[in-house]
Parts: sequence; C-alpha cells; structure tokens
Amino acid sequence: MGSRIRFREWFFLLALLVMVGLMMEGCGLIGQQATGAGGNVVKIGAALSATGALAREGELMKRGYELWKDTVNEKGGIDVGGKKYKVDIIYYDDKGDATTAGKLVEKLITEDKVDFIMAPYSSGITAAASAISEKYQKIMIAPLANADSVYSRGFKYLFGVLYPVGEGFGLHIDYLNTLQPKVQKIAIIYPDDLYPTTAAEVVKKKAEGAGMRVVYFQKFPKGTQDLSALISGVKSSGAEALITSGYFEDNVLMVKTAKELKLNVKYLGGMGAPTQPDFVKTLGKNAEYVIGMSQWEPTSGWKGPFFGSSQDYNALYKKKYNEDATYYTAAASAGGLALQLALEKAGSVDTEKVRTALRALDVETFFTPIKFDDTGFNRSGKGLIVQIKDGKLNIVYPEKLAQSKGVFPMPEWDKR
Amino acid sequence: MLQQLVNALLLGGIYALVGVGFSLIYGVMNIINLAHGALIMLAAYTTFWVFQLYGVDPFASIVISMALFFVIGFILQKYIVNRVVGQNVLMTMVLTYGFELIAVNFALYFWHADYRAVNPTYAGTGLEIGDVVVPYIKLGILTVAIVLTSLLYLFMTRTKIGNAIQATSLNKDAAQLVGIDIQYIYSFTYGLSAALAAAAGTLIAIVYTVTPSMEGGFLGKAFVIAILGGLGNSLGAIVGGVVLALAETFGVVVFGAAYQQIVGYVIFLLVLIVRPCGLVGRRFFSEL
Repeated sequence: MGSRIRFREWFFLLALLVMVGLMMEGCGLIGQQATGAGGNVVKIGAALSATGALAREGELMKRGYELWKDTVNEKGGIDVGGKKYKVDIIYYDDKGDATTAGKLVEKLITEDKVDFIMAPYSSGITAAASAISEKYQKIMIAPLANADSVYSRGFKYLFGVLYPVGEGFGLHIDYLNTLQPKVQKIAIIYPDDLYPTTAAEVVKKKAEGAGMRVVYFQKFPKGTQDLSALISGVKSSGAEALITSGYFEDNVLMVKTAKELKLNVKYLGGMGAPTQPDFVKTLGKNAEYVIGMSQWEPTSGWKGPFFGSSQDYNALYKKKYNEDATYYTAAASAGGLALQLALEKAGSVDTEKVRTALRALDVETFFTPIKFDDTGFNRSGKGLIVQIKDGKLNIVYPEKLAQSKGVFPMPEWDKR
Repeated sequence: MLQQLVNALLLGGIYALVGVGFSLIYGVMNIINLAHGALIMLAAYTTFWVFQLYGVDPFASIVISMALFFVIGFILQKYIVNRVVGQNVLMTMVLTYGFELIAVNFALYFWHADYRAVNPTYAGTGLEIGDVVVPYIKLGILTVAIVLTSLLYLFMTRTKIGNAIQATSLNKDAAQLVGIDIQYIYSFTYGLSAALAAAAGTLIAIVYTVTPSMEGGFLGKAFVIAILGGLGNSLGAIVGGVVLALAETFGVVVFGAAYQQIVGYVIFLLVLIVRPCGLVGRRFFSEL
C-alpha cells in the first residue's frame, strides 16, 4: 500500500518536472546555445515560425539559414580581418505572431547577446520585429519581406534581400519592351483585393511611362465565376497584350475564356499562378505560351561568390534535403551570404562597420543581384519571366538568364 | 454588344441549372437547402473523376451523375433532412449547412485543395457568326438546361407523381387526405433536386475550376436565381438565370466589372420589394 503511494508521488514529481521543463522550453529558457567553445564566433539570432500558420515557410527559411551556416563552417568560417569566424545561429519559435517575434528579437539581443539578427518570414512580422532590432541598433537581414511599407520607415539597420512587390508584376512591361513588333495597347484585369489592385496600379503607371496605352483596365469581383464579359471587352478594346494580377482560378478562367471567345492577343500573362504545377495540369495544352513570373528558380542562372550559380546552390540543397530548392530557402541563404560578404569586406564584426559594408554591397549572387538602396531595400533584385512551353517552365527574361527565346506573338488559338 | 448578349444568354443556362433544384426544394418542402452548393461541388468532382479515370465525356456522364445523386438525395432526405421538415427555418438551415461543412471538408481531406479541371478535346472551340463567337460547350450547357427544365415542367404537369409533388407543395394536409405518401414525395423531390444539382455540377466542371471551396459562390447564385424566378417555379429558374446573367454582363459593360455582382444583387432586392413572388411567379409562392 505504502509503496503505491510512493509510486504515485514519484509519478507526480516526474510529471511536474516534465511540465516545468516544457514551460522553460516554451519560454525559450532552454534554447540552442553557442557551440563554438574557444575560437571566434559570429552569433546570430533568428525568430522563425516553427509552429503556427507560417510553420512551413519558417521551416524552409530555417533550411536556408542552416545550409549557409553549415557551408560556412565546413569551409572553416568567415574571414574577418584575417581571423576565421564560425557561425552560430540561435533559433526561437515566433509561432507566426508578430508580437511574439518582437519579444523574441528583444530577448535575442538583450539576453543571448547576438551580434546580428536574421528576420522572420513575411512583411508583417518583419515590420514588427525590425522595430525592436532598430531600437537596439542591431542589423537585421530580412530575406522574405518585400512590401515597400517595411522599408519606408527610415530604418538604418534593416536590409531586405527580396526585390519589391510592385516591381515583380512590372517585369511584364520590361519584357514587353524588348519584344518586336512593339506592343502599343495593353489590357490589365485584376480581382478586387488589396495586393492585386496595388500590383495592377503600379503596372498601369509603368506601362504608360513606357509609352504604351492601357486600353482596358478593369477590376472584377474576387472569386468571380465568369469572365466572358471582361474578355469580350478586352477583345473589342483591341488590346495586343492581356495581363492579370489575379489568383490561380482567375488565371485559369482568363485563359479558358480567351480561347473560347477567340481573343487572339499576342501576349497573355499572369503573376505566380502560371508557374504552379497545377496550372498546366488544369489547362493542358491551352496553358502553352502563357507567361508567368517567378522569384527564383533552381535554373535561374545567376552566379556569384561562395555558393556559385543557382544550379550549384540547388545541387547543394538537393544533396541535403533530396528535393529541389524553393525561393524561400534560396532567399534565406542569400540573406546569410549578404551578411557574410559584408563581414569580409568590413574586416570587423562591429555593427557600424558591417552596416557601412552592407550599404556599399554591389554584387551578383546565386539568388539575384544584391545592392541595397538608401532605405536598405534590394531594389536591384529581379524576378524572372517564364513562358510555358511543352508543359514546362522556360525562362525567357531577363535576357542574360533566358533559357531560350520566348514565343512572341503567341500563336492564334486556331493555328495551334 | 451582340457578343455580350450571347455571353449573357449562355451564362444564363448555367445559372438556370444552378437555381432550379434549389427552387424546387424550397417550393415543396419549405426548406432552404444550404447543402445545394455542396451537392454541385460533389457532382463536379464525380464528373472530374469519371472523366479522368474512364475518359467518359461530361455530356454523357451527366446521366450517371444525375442518377447517382438522385439516389444520394433520396437517402439524404429520407434519413436526415426529413427530421427537420416542418421545423422552424433555423433548424433546417443548421442541418443543411452542417451537411455542407461535412461535404466540403470531406472533399478537402480526400482530394486536397488542388485545382482540377475537365478538359474535353472540344473545349474552347466554338461557332463563329461574323464577329460573334458561340462556344460549343456553353451552347451545349444552355441546351441541356432548357431540355432539363422543360422535362421537369412536363414531369410536374403530366405525370402522376409530378402532380402529387405539386399537390403536396400546395397543401400538405389535403394531399395526405387524398392518399399521397408525403414522406415518399419529399424524398423523391429532394432526390430530384440533387439530380438537378448534379447536372449543374457536371456542366460547371467543364467551364470552371473544380475545388472543394467552389460551392460558396454557387449557393449564393442559386438563392438569387430562385428568388428572381419565383421560388418553386421551374420555368422561372430559366428566367431568373437569364435575368441574373444579363444583369451581371451588362453591369460590366455599363458600370464596369467591379459592379458585376452588385447589379445582380440590386435587381434581386428590387424584385423582393416590388414582386416578392418572383418575376414569373404567381402570388401562390410555391406554385409550379
């Protein structure tokens, strides 16, 4: 009888210990500690989503940071003023919550005393977290936060690697400008939602700036099930190119309806939707020649120091994770690389010296070119224009990365 | 302009099919069937799989899915929906909405949120008359819609069971007094409605992307179409469908595409205020 009670007490004590342990871990008291005993170490902190709605993106980013860290350490470390520095990264889970991310960044700076901060995923969370790092005058590298609003706050210690949102969709205009015969009349349709509307308006301005006429500019209700009326409108407007900033289903409906109503434009484009595998699966042959855009592809063809080319980076990633790299991971590694290059150039781990070096950075990397402007935003980065050919994505722009010349004008529906 | 008119008429065909089954159930059973959109979605998936796995043309598989969904609808009514017939409106909505949630999550679980589509070889081809293009698929859909609603009308007016359904919707007690099996009629009507939803889902699968979340938009449309045409009125559904399609299409032309749906809903409100029995309905709301 007595032994049973003792057993219960033991069990209770054990449960209590486990709970306390869990709570401590939850509060981040048992974090990953610095490994580099002796020797020089650059200590980096990262609050990332390991749980919550952004867990998947958080995981992909962590892979990017880890791949960079491991590659650096395998090669003996970063050369800072003649001394080799190993990299150590402390991670915390922001649970996809901006407030939590802010608190964790504060903890990383004040308690863990990290030298640099790598940002979490998304513009929203980065905006909140960077306010803290700015307060403590610590450099934050943000690989995946590309809303203009994040960089328009006059921050001095924030650096964004991924090129701006608006410029992404505007790439259509850059590409159209290189095509002959020149497209004069362009139609833009977009769903009634914040992001697509912003993108459409940016592109409209850009097209007009490039001397094109936007002959049809129409918003349609989000989630519409019919675009015949709009496509008929585009047809009678005489537009030569039709682009949409809409979502996946809008893109599919646009292509289907264009074929049905025999809208023979020379150029039919969307944003990310045409690059999703489902697009070709859904539309079959009708997806041919449709143009979309991508942030980064393993076949991008950018080249630079340390990681080599996009293909080299992808091979490295594939060896470790057994699948192709995505732009989430690539951007995160590129963030680490930017910091590494700045450290080498500064020859010091001092924040102010590294900040100056980051500002002066002007380099092509496996991800994109990196050159931060006065706001810390990498506006010289570039997305890719891809065209679907034989059911595969084919990079057609920027010219230096093009896998083959794009098909322009796209063949009329009847002549395929 | 002529092209827009053709677009509207063809779109009206789809809308009519979406609305007619919904209208029928309300007319006969006084139930707002929030599961209607889910039935359309499930039928669209049925069409997709039958096409994908066995290569059956959607215009042929419409017979299969209608038969299948008649049985599903019949059983669903008999064992589940029947429990709330005659209860207050809220109960019927809770139940049918519950079914919708289950159906959507079922689809999400088994087929994921992937986008799918049925692509027959003739997709995108059409008849050209001068400047006007009439896509074959949408012409086919309009034809099917007219044939089905006409058949439904004939069924209701010329057959014994059709008459029994009408009698039930006019006066349940009197119908029972003359020996009509109300329970059977209810189940039959729900089956019929499900079969019509299946026809709509099958045809929608050809023109639209199939996803688990497609049901929402069509449920809203079904509501508007049924009210416009007069609840319970099968021919009214065609009128309602075409009127909504015209309103949406010319809403785009006149006010701009952002107003596409607003125009439809404004007309819907006007009809409710001015002619609550629907554009072609008679005062007796459940008359066929």
